[in-house]
Amino acid sequence: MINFALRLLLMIGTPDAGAAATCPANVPALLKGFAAVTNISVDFVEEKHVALLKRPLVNKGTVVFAAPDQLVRRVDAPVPTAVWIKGGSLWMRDAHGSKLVDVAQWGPANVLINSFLYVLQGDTASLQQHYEMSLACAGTTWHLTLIPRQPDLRKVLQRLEINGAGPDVTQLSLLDGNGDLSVTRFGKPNKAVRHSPAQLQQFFASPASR
Amino acid sequence: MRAWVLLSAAVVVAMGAYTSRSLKLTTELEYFLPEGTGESRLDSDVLRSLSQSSLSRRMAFLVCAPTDAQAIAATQALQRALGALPVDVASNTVAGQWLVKALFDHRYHFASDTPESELPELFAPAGLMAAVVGLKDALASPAGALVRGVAPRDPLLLSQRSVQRLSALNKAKLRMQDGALLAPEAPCGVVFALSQAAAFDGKAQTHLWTRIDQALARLRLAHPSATIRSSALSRHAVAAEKSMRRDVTRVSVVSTVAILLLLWLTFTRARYLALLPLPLVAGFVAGTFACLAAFGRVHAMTFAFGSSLIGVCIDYPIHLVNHLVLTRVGEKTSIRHVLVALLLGCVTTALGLGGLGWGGLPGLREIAVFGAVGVTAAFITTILWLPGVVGASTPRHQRAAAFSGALLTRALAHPKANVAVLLVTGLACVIGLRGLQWQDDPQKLTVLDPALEREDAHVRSVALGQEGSDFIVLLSREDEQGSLQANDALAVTLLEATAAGEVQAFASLHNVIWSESLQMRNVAVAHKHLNEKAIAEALAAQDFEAGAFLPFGSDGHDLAQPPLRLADLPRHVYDTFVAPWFVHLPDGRLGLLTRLTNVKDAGALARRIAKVPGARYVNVAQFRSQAYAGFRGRMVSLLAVGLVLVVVLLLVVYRDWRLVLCAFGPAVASALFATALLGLLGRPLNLMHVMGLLLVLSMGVDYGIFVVESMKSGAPLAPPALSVGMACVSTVLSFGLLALSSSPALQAVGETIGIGIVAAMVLSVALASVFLPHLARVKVPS
Repeated sequence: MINFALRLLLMIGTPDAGAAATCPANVPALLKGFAAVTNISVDFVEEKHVALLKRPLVNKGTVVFAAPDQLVRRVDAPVPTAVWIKGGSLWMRDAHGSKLVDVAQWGPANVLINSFLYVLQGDTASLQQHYEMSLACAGTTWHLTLIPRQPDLRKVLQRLEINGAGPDVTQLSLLDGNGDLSVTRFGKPNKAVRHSPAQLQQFFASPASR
Repeated sequence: MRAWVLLSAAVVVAMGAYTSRSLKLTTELEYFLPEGTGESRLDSDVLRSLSQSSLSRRMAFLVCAPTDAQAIAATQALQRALGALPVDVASNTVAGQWLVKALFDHRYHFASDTPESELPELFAPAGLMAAVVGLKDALASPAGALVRGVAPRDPLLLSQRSVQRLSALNKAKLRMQDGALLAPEAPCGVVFALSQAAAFDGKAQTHLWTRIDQALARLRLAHPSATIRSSALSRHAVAAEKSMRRDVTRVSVVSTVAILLLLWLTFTRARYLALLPLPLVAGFVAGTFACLAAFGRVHAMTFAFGSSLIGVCIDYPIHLVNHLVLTRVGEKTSIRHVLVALLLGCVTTALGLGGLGWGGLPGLREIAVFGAVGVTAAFITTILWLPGVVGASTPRHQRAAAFSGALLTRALAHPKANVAVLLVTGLACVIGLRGLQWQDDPQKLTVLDPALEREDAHVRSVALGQEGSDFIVLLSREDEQGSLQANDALAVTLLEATAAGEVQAFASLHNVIWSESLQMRNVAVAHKHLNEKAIAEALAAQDFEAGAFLPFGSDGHDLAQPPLRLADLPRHVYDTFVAPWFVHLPDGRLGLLTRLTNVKDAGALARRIAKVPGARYVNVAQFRSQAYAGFRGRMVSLLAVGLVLVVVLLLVVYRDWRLVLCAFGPAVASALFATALLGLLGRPLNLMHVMGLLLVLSMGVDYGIFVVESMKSGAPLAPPALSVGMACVSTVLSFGLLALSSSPALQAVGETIGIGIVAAMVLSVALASVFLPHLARVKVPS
């Protein structure tokens, strides 16, 4: 869950194409580019390296974001599932149906979910309150690292790394507190797509409809 | 005689002193709950227990704001404000976290409702393989992080079963954020609390809601963007009490002023304004005292109704004073027939009111005691206190009497017209009684503030989700463990009912905790069938690192845990998750509640539940309607019995059926006419109409008796004519004004008696006109 939340945190925003021909000067500049994005749809492949398993778990699916606060992450294979963040609420769908999730079960998950909003709003100050951030560049590619400041959050998340090229996020790596590693690679984003609330609902609820 | 006057005055003063010190006013709903007999008594007891349970003390507040952050801040402020009041603010989060951890540690104990049949299959190789595949899918799912945390100790994810059962209790899908419960779809915080006082403790709840309203006002100032709404039964009770108080005050003030005006216009002496109400005061004090002595409290409805009832007793001093003043000179012997008339009137009224006491409804019993004692006290004080203070008549008084006497004489002189009146009355009865409709829903007897009701419904839907009125109550004389054991069996039956589509879902204490015996049966099956090696093989087959898992089977610590007992739960967990499911019946039995959601086949469900010992399926709304229909039937029977008693009494006194007909006929005919007229007006009748009819009968008999006594005594008609006229007007002023009440119950009584009593006066004249010429020639034994 936390892997997912943080992955979404940085995946949903990609810098504006016009402003990203070169490496962003600093973290606020990068986040400002994310804030300009209002709609996006992007395919992904996730590899979860769980210490309990000998081989990584692989998920394939699509993420859709609609400003200001709607985000759906849908896994289509191997097991169809979906997550929908609406404001501060988190809904999940699996083979048993959809349900609202009490995020308090995940302890600091609230921080992570709020962090989505900070990113979407380009709220560098709030992100800096919860994370130590560092940005590295090489040509048009960039590498953003976020390390939680709060001990509670660090227990579940050691580090988050986001790789990008120009305006797009290309990869998200997330190292859990228990040592599990999740690596998500993204395809080419579609920023022209528009989703009404009803379409988002359908996208969340119907894995085979697409 | 003087000694009796002083003694009676001393008794009234003593009762008044006791009453003013001990008066306890309530607005309990159980006032309207029939007690029933046998099985129905049990249902009544269950409803009574529900009305006193923590369910009835529950309060929910909804704090909405433009953003989550604002809603959370205002919600937290409300929690702090409520913490300073005599309410227990629910600590769902802390209690819930404790419970989730305890249930995780006892996941083997809470694995299956039917461990002997389900667990061997789950622990077989195929079952283990399916569970491990499920674990792998769960790790890949959005909830993977949560699963990852528990998987090393719980690879079969048995703990998820307990979590799902607990989650089912959160029907409103509330979420927790920063220590506040938030609604799923809107930035609204939710606060639950239990009032320490009973929901229908009028005084305590009025005080509490005054303080809550003050706290909310301060909160609105501090958080201007927040809107705060609430839901609580006690809030309705407080509003109902305020409304009833307003009604009582309005009716009492208006009727008192009007009656005093009537007395002044008739007697034109100030002393009568002070003296004539004294028997009423005595009756009111005696009635209240009797209720306090018998029941320990007085219901607001008894006050509202009883005040008007005692108001009718103004008839006694009016009759006596009219007679003494207008026939004072040389007519002392004639006082005897007046006293007989008053005594007969008092006895028949007390008989009628006393009949209410056998109706099996606490509220009516209270009114019966209040009324019967009050009427008797008013009669006694009338004949003791007034004769010694009566003065001479005034010209206006004499003119009023002469006018009334002339009117009566003229009315009596036209028997054919009066036959026509009787025929029209009979025709109206035949037509009106055929279209009569009954309304047996007791909730229609009280009216709630529509705005308050809408607010309440909104808060309940957001904070509590769908809540029906279907319950199962599991009755047990066992201790808590015995109840839990029966509850486990009931849950299995309800799971079958759910699978059969008879009910959509159910929630009970079974969602929280099971009996020790069921827990130990689970552990015994796990010990027997859980094979560590087989699980390791299943994990390996699905690419799991077997070494990453802790010992969980027979070698694991958790399987050796003692069962989770109610006594192990901390107080806050018990209060939050356990106590609300228990109700305590009057006979000492424990009842354990199960709430049903969306009952689809009540008949099939009831049949299935009937097989579970001690389980009773209760639909609160349906039961109340059935109980009231039955109760109404009993009331009608009581009416018949009361009528027979009054007829027997009159036959014993008069020994002539025509006298009895003239004394008794107006009451019966007027009751039938009032019923028929309400039917013709399309008004559905309820229990309170029936009660009003009983009073019409009791008071209508008085008119007939006064007319008959006057006619057979040969005395002038003027005094009784004036008395009956004034009695009718005063009754309409006191009872008829209840028809203007906002309470449907009081309204029903008011309109029935208002119509009935006017009809009784008209019909007493009509019957006398038709029969009195013959009766006048009858030799009546003295």
